[in-house]
Amino acid sequence: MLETAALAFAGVFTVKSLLFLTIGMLVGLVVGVIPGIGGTAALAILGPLTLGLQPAEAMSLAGGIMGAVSFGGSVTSILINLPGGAPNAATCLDGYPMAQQGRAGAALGASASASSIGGVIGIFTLLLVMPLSRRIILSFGPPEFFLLTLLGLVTIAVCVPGKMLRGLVVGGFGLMFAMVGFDGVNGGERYTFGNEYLWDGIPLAPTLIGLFAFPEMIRLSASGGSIARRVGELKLDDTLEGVWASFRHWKTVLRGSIIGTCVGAVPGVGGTVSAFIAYSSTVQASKNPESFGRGNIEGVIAPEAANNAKDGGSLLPTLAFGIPGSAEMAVFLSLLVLHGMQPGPQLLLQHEDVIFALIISLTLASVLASVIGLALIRPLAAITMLDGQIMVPMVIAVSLLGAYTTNLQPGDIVVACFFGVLGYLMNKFEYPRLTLVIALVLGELSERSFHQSLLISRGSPTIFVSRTVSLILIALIVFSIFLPIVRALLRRSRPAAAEATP
Amino acid sequence: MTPPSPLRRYAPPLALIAVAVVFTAMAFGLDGKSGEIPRLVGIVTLVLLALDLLTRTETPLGTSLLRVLNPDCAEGRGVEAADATVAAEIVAILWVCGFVALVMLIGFVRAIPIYMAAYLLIQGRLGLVKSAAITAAFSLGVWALFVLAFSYRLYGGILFG
Repeated sequence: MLETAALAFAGVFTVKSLLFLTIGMLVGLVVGVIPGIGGTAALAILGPLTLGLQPAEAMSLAGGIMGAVSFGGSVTSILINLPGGAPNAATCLDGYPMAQQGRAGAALGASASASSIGGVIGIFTLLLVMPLSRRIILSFGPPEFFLLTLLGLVTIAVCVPGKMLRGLVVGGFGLMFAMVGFDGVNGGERYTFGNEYLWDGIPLAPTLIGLFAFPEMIRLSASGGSIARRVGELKLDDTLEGVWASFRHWKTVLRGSIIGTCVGAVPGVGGTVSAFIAYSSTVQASKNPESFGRGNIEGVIAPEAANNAKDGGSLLPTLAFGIPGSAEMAVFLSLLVLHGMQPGPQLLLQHEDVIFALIISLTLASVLASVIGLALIRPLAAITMLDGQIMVPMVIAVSLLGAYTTNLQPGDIVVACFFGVLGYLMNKFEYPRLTLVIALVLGELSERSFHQSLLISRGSPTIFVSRTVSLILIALIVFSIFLPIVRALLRRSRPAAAEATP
Repeated sequence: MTPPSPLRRYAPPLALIAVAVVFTAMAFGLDGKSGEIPRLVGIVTLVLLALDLLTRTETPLGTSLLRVLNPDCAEGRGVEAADATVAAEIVAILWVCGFVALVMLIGFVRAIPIYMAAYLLIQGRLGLVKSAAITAAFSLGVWALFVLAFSYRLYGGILFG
């Protein structure tokens, strides 16, 4: 194995491979920044062009794209509240308020370092658990999927501490939106009003683009000014403070990375779920949960670490079983086939060197893309100082293009607009958007897994407690529900104890 | 700080209740298992909305519930000062909706320059030359990136699609 790894190192550290890695990284950063394109489109466009390349060189290019795209997406999330891709939406929640406070450099620095560390942790986890991959993946069936989504849903109550009731109300509406479309398990249309476009449900990417990018642009358009309300010079130590923050909050990075890797490894769940679960679990674990959503740097670190770590996790089912966990992995799978590699258990035995080349490229890209991003922080952060009246039409136009190019459906343009106006009204009337997103992301999967589980067990609910993974997830759900209560009780008892002490 | 007007205080939960009632009523019209979860979601959301409405009243129960369940909303805590008039907000929303309508009608390639130029001139109050230059550069950039570089066939609109 070590010999193969050394061979792969030698293969990646050639001028040609490094050149393709750099090209891949730059493409990844650019497509990450542009909403709606993302790594899937970049891989699909560049994939066929790699046909004449050596497999290791093609993997360098693919690794460069996959490693860089999520950091690229976080740049616009932080600077203009416009998520480059759906998984970047969680970064908007605290990254954008930081940019508004004139701390865009710190947010970008934290995003860069958390992405790098998360990416590396994800890849090393992939290396470690590859031999156990079959057992891990097969341990997730519909009951575990349901419990995993339930774990995400119970965090709704705790992730907006000062507005718990409104968070729950909005969560209810998120679930309502998630019910729209064709009911895949029981059959029949629900809430489609005879519109074929709605059969597939509410599309996620246009919804997130609308919910996050539009409200701020409407605000800027109505009130004028620039994004950064505290206009001042961007200092370099601000950025370094952000980079250092990921090391100070190492527990947040580790938690986000583990969540990203584990959720990423579960096919069909995806990066958006992992980023939001990482975010809400960080809020839950924090001693100062009310500071989230108002520019808490941990709110940037957690989803960014999860977002990059999920790449390592999602490669697990793709490489080991040929089961792509996401659209990006499906395109990557076709790239492997294009180069004569058949994904599955034999892949690791027959093409170990190529897989190692991919792993090395992904690791390098995770780190180097952040370094390149850091070098560009000063000009990037200057965007927040731009006159809003010039920026508004540009961002609105690019957002709509992004919403459209995700699925090439004209209906997505209307969906983005609808959720944009809804997001603005939610901000105005103090309803949190986070819980809507969590419920929308998890609602459909949750319902589908619930019905599938009951179909498998012929209606017996014991299926939810019959396997070890299910029991662990139930324990986590119970822990998530009771942690805030225990913490509140402890907070109450501490002042009482302090008063009692003379 | 002036207390919110009755319209601002009660309109959001009442509007949401109306939507939730329609959703729940439709859920009861769904077949068997397809309607189980929507019915549950609808009823629970209605209960939560009733509580939300109660927290907005100035009754002792409403005030107590507000302090426990929505402390940040008590006395406008955590609310940003409104820095735009309602008219300005409506105009801003109309700009977005107008652009969307234009895209649906004539497609991206034609709608973007029209919207950009109109917005910069009317809403942004920039000069003609500056507006034209920004519009041209941006429209060209978008076209080069999405159409030339990524080969996307951008939506041509109902009239030209």
